[in-house]
This record gives sequence, structure tokens and C-alpha cells, in this order.
Amino acid sequence: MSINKIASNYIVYTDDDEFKSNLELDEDKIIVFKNIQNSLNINFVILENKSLTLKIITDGVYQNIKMSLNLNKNSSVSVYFLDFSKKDSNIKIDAYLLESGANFNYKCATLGSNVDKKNIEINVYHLANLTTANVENYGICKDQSYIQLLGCSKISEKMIKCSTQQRAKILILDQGASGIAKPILKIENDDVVANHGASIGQLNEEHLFYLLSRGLSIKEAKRLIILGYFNNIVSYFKDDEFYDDINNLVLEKV
Amino acid sequence: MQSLMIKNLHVEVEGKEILKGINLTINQGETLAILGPNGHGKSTLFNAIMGHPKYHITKGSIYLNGEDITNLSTNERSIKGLFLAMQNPSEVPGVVNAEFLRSAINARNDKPVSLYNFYKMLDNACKILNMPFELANRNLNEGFSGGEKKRNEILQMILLNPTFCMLDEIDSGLDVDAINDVSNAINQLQDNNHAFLVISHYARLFNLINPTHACIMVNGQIVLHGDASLINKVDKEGYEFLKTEHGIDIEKHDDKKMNSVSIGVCATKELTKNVHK
Repeated sequence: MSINKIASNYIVYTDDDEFKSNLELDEDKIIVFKNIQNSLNINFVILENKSLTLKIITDGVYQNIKMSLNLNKNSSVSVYFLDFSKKDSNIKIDAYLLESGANFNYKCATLGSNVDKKNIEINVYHLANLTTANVENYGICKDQSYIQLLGCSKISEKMIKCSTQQRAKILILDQGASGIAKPILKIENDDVVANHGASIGQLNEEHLFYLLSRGLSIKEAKRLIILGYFNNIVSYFKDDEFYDDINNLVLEKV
Repeated sequence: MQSLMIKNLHVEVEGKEILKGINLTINQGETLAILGPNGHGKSTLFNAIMGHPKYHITKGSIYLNGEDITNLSTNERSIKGLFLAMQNPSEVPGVVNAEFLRSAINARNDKPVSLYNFYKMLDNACKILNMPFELANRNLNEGFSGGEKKRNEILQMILLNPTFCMLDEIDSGLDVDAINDVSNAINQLQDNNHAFLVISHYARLFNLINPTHACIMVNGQIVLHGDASLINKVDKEGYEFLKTEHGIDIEKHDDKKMNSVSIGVCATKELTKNVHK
């Protein structure tokens, strides 16, 4: 995939980029990570009352990426993350809901193939009252790949009326593939809404039967179901110039 | 004339025999009402005909137009003209309804259907069923009401135009208007080119689709065959007459006991020394 057009709403990180600290965001952005061999540490600040979308795509080989998001009062950020990285990689995203009314919505789809080993960690810290977060991680493991999806939502003792959700789902396609899904809640207050869920398994037999009963071949049925995992997030890129590129990349990988 | 013939079919599910020798033939142009108490094998019959992997055929055969399809895969049976409108249609997340429908149509055509023709067909089918077109752009059955799911089954039936249509309680969960819409759609396909096998517990649907004959399934077997008047008899008298007039005992099924399983508690109490700010 090549994203050649650099428009004002794109941020492209490569190995040549320097550490960027406290980058203030006040509009929607698309972030592309391309071949990061070393560690990269990025810190974003979402300004008060701002509501924006962050779309993240990883393409290539990279080692360690750490991203922090600091959300101010009544700010809202929706993060849609498509991970096509190869080989061994670690991504850590920390979202700090600093002030009341901050909202964090996060969806990630990652594909592991060959001997990829991926570790994706997403932590949410509710540091004020009335903050909300929703985290959904989807992983697909093929061949001998391994994916670990870790998520932790923490609500501190004095923070009331917060709402947080952590979900992780991993689809295992081949015998040599494996995954771990750990959506954790660390709750120190009773006046909250918090839930988490995890599932790891093979293709749902009933879903497969349903599609086969309409004449689809097993290959086509599996393709549709697997694409469905990515469509949850790819659909948010529909208005973007490189939507076709992303779609083709998903089809190629799957 | 095409026909679907079931010969001495025995089917097992999880080691338990459910169907104990089903014999049945249906031809194009016919509509067969299948009646019977809950839990006596009606849905099992449909799923076995469609080749659901959970349902193991231990004896007997299924013939479609003289060809033994007992060992054919599910998708091959579909392409040969079988269709099952499910009692509980699956919700398949992320799979867009329209994309799925187009793939299903293309699976049985030599050339892929053009986008224009596909949307034209879809639009016509939605109008027949009074279904909002926007349902086609949602994920397959995800978030659909019970009635919408059933309409979506009939939408698929219209688009795929199968020869033998098995409808498993298509009327359950439908309001009066929806039953009328679904019945109209079935009526439009009831001709010499199609055959219907319909499971329902209620005479209302059968009054609208006018079956050509009926049968009653009890204890995993077809115990009675007759014309459509059998439906009215069951509707008025229930199934007690099977015992009084024909000496057929209806086996009672014990309610499945809940397994004593605990998934445990995933919460633990931790004492943290340093609370994050």
C-alpha cells in the first residue's frame, strides 16, 4: 500500500522522525506508521471541547510504538486502528481522561500471518468524574502467528459516574496460530459502569453454515467472515482518498 | 418434473437419534405443511436436508431429481436448488447484507451480476416485502428485529429463486402485516416451478399460503399424511386425536437439566498502595 498524497490531515511517521511531544490535535487526523525499526514515542493532546477522529494505519515492519493521548474537558476522540505490521511488534496506547466529560472510543483490527508476533496494549485511565471509554480489539491469527491483545481500564477511587468497556476478540484460523486476549478492569469506585469481554476461537460453525446454505463456497464464506472483522474498522475509512487502497490491502492480506 | 425424495432417513444429533426413518416426497408445484409438537424433529429434518454438520445421517438417503445428494456439501445442495429459511437466522457481524446477497447470487451464475442489475433485483424484492432498502446496507441480521430477520430470509429466497424452499416457522415473531407480506411473497413463487415445505404451529399462515397437503411429525417420524384439512383438525383439536383415533403415543421430552457449571468470578480484590493520580 502506498499513501503518496500527504494532505494536511495526514501525519506520516517513519524512522527518520524525531520524537514529537505534546502535539495538540484540534481536527481529524490520519496517522500512518511506515517501517519503524526503532522505538517511537508520541504524545497527543486533545484540546478542551474538541471532538475528533484519529485513524491509524501501520504498514511495514516496526518494533516499538508508544502513543499517549491526553483528553481535556469535554473532549472526545475516536480512534480507528488498522494494523498490518509484519514480524515482531509492540504497540502501546495510553489514554488519559484528564477532565470531566472526556470520551475515548477505540477500535482496532490486527492481522497476524506467517510467524508474526504482535503485542497490542491499550490502557485507559479515568482521572476525572463523568469520563467514558469504549475499547474494542479484534485480532485474526493465521499460519503460525501469535497475537496478544491487552487492555486495561482503570477508574481511580474518587472518580464517580464513569463508564468503561474493554472487549477483545481473536479469531484463530490455523492450527499453529495462537492468541491471548486480556481485557482488564481495575475499578476502585462503586458508582461506575464497567464491563469487559473476551473471546478466542475458530470460525463460528453456525455462521459458516448460514453462508454455505446460500451457495457460497467455503473459501468465499470464510473470506466474508474474516473481512467482517476488519470491516468494523475499515468502514470508518470510507470517505478517505485511499479507501480503495486499504480495501485492497485487506483483501490481499486475508 | 423435479422432486425431492427422502428415503428412510435416520438422523443423530450429539449421539441421540432424532429422526427415526423419514419417508417423504415432494414435487414441484406442491406446498407441504409440516405439523407436529415442539421437539419432535421437524427442524432437524430441514437441517439434515440442508447438510448442517451437526446433524449426522446414520441411515437413509436424500434424492434431488433422482440424484443422491446425501453426501453433497451444503453449498452444493444450495446451488442445486435447495433453500432453508431458518428458524433462528444467524447474526454475522461485519458481513454487509448486500455484499453477502450479491456473493450468493454470483455463486450460482456463470457471470457475476452487474451492480446495477443486482440493486434493481434487490430493490424489487424489498418492495415486495415492504422492507426498507437500508437494511441491505447493514450487517447480516445484526441488530435486526425478529421480524426483520424473517423478512430477510424471504428476501434471500426471492433473490436466489430456489426450486425447493424449506421454511422453518417463518411466521414466528411476525406481526399481522408482516405475515401478509411474507405470504404474498410465497404466493408469488407458488407455481409449477417451485415447491415449499413449511413448518408452522399456526393455521393463520397456512390459510394464506394454501398448502396442497400436510403431514404430522411425532417422535421423529411422519405418522400421518393428508390433505390441507389436517391443518384445521390440528388447529381445533391439538394433537390428542393422534392417540384417540390412531393409537399414537406422543413421547414427552424431559426438560433439559441445566448443567451445574460455574464460569466463576473474574474479579479479584487487589490492595493497591499507589493510586494513580
